[in-house]
Amino acid sequence: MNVLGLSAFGGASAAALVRDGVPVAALREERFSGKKNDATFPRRAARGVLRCAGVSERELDAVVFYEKPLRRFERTIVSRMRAFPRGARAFADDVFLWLGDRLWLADKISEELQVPREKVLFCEHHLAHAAAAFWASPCEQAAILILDGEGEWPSTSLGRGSQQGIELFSQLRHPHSLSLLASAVASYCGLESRPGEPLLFALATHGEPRYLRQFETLLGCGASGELRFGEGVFRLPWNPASGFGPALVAELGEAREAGSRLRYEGTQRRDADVAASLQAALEALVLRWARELQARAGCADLCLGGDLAWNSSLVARLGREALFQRIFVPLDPGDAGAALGAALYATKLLGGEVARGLDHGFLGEQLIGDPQPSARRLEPAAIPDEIARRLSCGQLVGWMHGRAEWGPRALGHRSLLADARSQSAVDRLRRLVKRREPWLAFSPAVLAERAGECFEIPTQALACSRAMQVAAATSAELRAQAPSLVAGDGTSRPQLVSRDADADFHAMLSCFAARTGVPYVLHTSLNQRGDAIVRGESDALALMERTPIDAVVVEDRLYEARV
Amino acid sequence: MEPSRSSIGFARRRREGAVWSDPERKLRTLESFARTEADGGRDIAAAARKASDPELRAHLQRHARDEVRHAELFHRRAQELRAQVGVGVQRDDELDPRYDLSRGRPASEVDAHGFLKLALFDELGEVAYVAMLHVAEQRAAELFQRHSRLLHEDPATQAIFLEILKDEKYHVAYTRTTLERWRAQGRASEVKAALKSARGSSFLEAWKRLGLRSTAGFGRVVLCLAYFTIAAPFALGLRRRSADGSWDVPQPGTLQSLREQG
Repeated sequence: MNVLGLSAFGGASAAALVRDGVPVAALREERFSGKKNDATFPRRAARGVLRCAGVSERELDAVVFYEKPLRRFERTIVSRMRAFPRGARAFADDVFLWLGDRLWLADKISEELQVPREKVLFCEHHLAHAAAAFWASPCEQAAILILDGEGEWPSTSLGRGSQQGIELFSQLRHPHSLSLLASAVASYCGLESRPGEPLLFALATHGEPRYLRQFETLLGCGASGELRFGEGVFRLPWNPASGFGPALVAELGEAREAGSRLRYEGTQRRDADVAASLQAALEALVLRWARELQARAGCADLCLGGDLAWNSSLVARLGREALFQRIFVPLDPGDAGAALGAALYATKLLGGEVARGLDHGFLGEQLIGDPQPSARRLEPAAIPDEIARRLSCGQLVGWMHGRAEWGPRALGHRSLLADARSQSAVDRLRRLVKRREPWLAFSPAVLAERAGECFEIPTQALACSRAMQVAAATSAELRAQAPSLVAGDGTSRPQLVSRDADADFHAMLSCFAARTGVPYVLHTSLNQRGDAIVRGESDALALMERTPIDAVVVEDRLYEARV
Repeated sequence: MEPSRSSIGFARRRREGAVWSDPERKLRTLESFARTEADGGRDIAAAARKASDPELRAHLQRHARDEVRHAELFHRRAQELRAQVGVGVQRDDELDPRYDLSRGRPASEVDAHGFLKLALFDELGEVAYVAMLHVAEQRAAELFQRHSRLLHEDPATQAIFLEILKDEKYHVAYTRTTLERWRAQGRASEVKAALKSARGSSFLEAWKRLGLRSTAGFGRVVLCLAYFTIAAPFALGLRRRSADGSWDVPQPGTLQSLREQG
């Protein structure tokens, strides 16, 4: 049975193919368009996954969209009407947009992919998230917690996954959403509202929760963990560009003007304190929900999904509290990942068996090779040491091989690496390639068997460390040697690399450790800020040409930057 | 003919002058230019990879790098202005065409200069692509020239336009040279047809954009009216019932529900 899952018009759009219950290919549209978080209809991604899997449109048994468009339309319209009369412009814009094509999505999908209309199905958004979280884990049964922003009506779901399938038993509804609150606070701190959320949570590591009481008032949490946001927390219903409302200003004082100096260091830490207070309030509330969920689901494991599952500090806190024996976060817990979840969920409902656990995250395209004459061939066995040698000399090295990663993060196949101890390499990377804010830490990739020397990862959340999804306390030595890897609160988000998970990457890290004695390197995606991860060989070379990347290794070909 | 042309020019100068004198619209316009140039850089880099002619490939590679650098110049200036203006940034999908002097485009399929960008190089071949670039760059040079004249009170932004203008002149020159080279190689009729089509399609796209924007504007006015008339009673009813923040019990998912859109 071949089931294609699609996501679009929310976060990043994507397509994923599940064959006989096993994910075989999954791609984000951004890899084709080059635009990070591209949310347009995943036309090219859909064709790409079919090509990767060698399946034609005719062989598809179903195409599943990751949400119910009519319910989302209803939620959008009701939100605009609740904001009467200020919602007029947003109402007109939305209705215009929806009448354009989103209301006729079944026909659009059928037409774009040349599949009969009756094969087009629609999965509820949170069920898609839940399926992505549960079936990507190895658990036979698990509690499921979905913490999401905007979809249909639900914003938070509690449920359980088992052999029989997925059951959601409680939901909070829009606009009572922690993710929306995070968007509003990001906007309040002068960051872009939705893309600013990860920045906000990184900023939180530099602050103290001095405004926790104010956030508790804003959340208005009731006796059974329900939310009662007061009027005016958001302005989203009538002004999507400016997410925060007057209630935030009343509680917290004047918002930071975008572009003004961000206060996160020295005696001026107000913006970081606001972010830290949100983080603390959010953790307290999610813990409360997790306890409730643990009692109701009666499961030892937890699967976490939705936008807030990206919050590595929250995952670490859930781990430290030890409510669950194991915590799992899928490789892409956001909207793009829900494309895979929708396909898995539909497979189950259509009577197929679904395989548990995702062995690896390399579900993307094979490398698009376009070898250039300037390439120097390397012996395959010599590649790990050649990369390690260059890194130890302070070079920035791009490395591309095999199939691309599923999700927004590089995990070793489309990666940019540096020796985190080299101040000059880190500076070049931060200023000229990633243009990353000085308060934002990079992530390390570390030999799994030696991770304990540098990081203290909560045992319960160990599985989340394969894709940098959990914050871990760091050793004093690491903090002294590689400050760029350490967030404001002394934590880091390591990627543990085992031989089983990725033998090549493990071999390179081993060579680096043999040369330097250090078991970790700085690891980030092979792209520039604002762009998607590079897709083909020539994209990587173009990136090397316009940035100070010193070398790129593509399969067994080495390219060096011209001096 | 002359009076109507000058009155169009006057109206355009008024509109563009209004944009540059409004700090917030100026910021949005610069952000929009930054995105446009970045898009252009990506498209041209993709074309460079496919170009078979080594000389053209080298030009396209430099052109792509120029576009990326222009995007950075606009972006940096927008950031400086953001600090002065104190407004947040908008997401790509929320760009307001009122602020958008560079494209006013309705769909992501249309590129910075109003051309359809979907696999254009593959579909039309290099002659048509270079002809389109030539026409587009000529227009961009004119546009930037006009803007630079309107920015005498903001020398920092004006300097950016003047610097970019130098590159635009190079872009116009190399595309012209390439077309002339092809002409001399016996492809004159192909070049002529491509240039005619580029100019025509640019005009046609502009006409289509105008139509689309008018329709969109009219549609939005009608929908706003509907909001205040037909929807108003329901809206007032909904306002009284504020959104409930308590826990709900969802319906279990079934195969039948999978077939429904709502």
